[in-house]
Amino acid sequence: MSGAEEILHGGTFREVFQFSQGPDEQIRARFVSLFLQEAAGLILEAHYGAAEDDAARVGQAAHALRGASALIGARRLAAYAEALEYAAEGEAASQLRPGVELISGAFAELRPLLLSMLPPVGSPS
Amino acid sequence: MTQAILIVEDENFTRELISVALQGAGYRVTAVGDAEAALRVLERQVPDLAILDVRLPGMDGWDLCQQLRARGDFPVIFLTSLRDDEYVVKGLRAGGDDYLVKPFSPLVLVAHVEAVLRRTSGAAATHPMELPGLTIDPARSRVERDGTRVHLTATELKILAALARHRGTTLSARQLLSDANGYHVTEKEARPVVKVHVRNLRQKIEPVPEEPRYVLTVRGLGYMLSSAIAASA
Repeated sequence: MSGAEEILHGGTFREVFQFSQGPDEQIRARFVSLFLQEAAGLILEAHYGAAEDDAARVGQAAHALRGASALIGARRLAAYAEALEYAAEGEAASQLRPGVELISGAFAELRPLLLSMLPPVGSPS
Repeated sequence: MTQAILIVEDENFTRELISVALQGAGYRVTAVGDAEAALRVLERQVPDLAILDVRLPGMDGWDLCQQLRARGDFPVIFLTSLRDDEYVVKGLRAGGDDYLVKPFSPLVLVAHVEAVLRRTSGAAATHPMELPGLTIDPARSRVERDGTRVHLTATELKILAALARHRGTTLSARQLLSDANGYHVTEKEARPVVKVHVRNLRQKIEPVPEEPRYVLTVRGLGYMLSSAIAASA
């Protein structure tokens, strides 16, 4: 599997938006935007959790991030989030900072790939 | 009749995605983010099926499932990223009818919903339903009020069973007649017919027919079986 496929698995990404009526540009754009917004919020939540020594908060954010990332095909981000979720069950919040940095990095790689899936601004819907 | 699905999932992206997928497949969807909100929804309306995330903030999916089971007889699908067999067993033992592990394709979820509804709709249609003071047993064509058998006509029984299956939901006269007898008529045609059946039904099952507590009229829309009466089915 290529590096890009590990960041965003094309097959999973296409499949997740194939509802009964088939792929729909507007639906895809809406969900990509929602995912980017959600993921950014969850990563921020994980940062706050680590900074405030709240491992449960980090774990909860990582759990939610894992589910959403896996669904959209963001494999690397999902894998890092899963590792962070399990680490949060047994480690002090201060030990979780490297894991939080990893998910931040994976999201930074993913974001431009997802943005490139959105139709250009001003294009007809 | 459009079937109603209750989704309980705390993660916004997943909740929105499965809502849109199920709406696209023709279901009426109510989606909430935690167990407390789900229980509030249930006070107003009993769904045909519930999809529960296991790991929810506050009350978890297992406990919520048991609470739902005490409030209505409808199937439950668990949705979770927990993969271990023990969780599958726990989910099914907690009263779940099916179990889907994330990540999943929304199309697969829709297929699971269809399969579970297909599998359970026959059982629900014939399952005895208990309300305080009233027992409805469609399989035996038997209705009891305070332990005494009430004799209903076939159409009255079917109308009552349809209302009970969709307890807390308003059904139009057309929907009731279609559900009861398979008639395809307009609402205008159905209304006077159903009105007569409901009046007769109330005479037989309501303690005070002029002030119904079971079969309520929703002005301009139709009828519903009161959801304010706690079910023990």
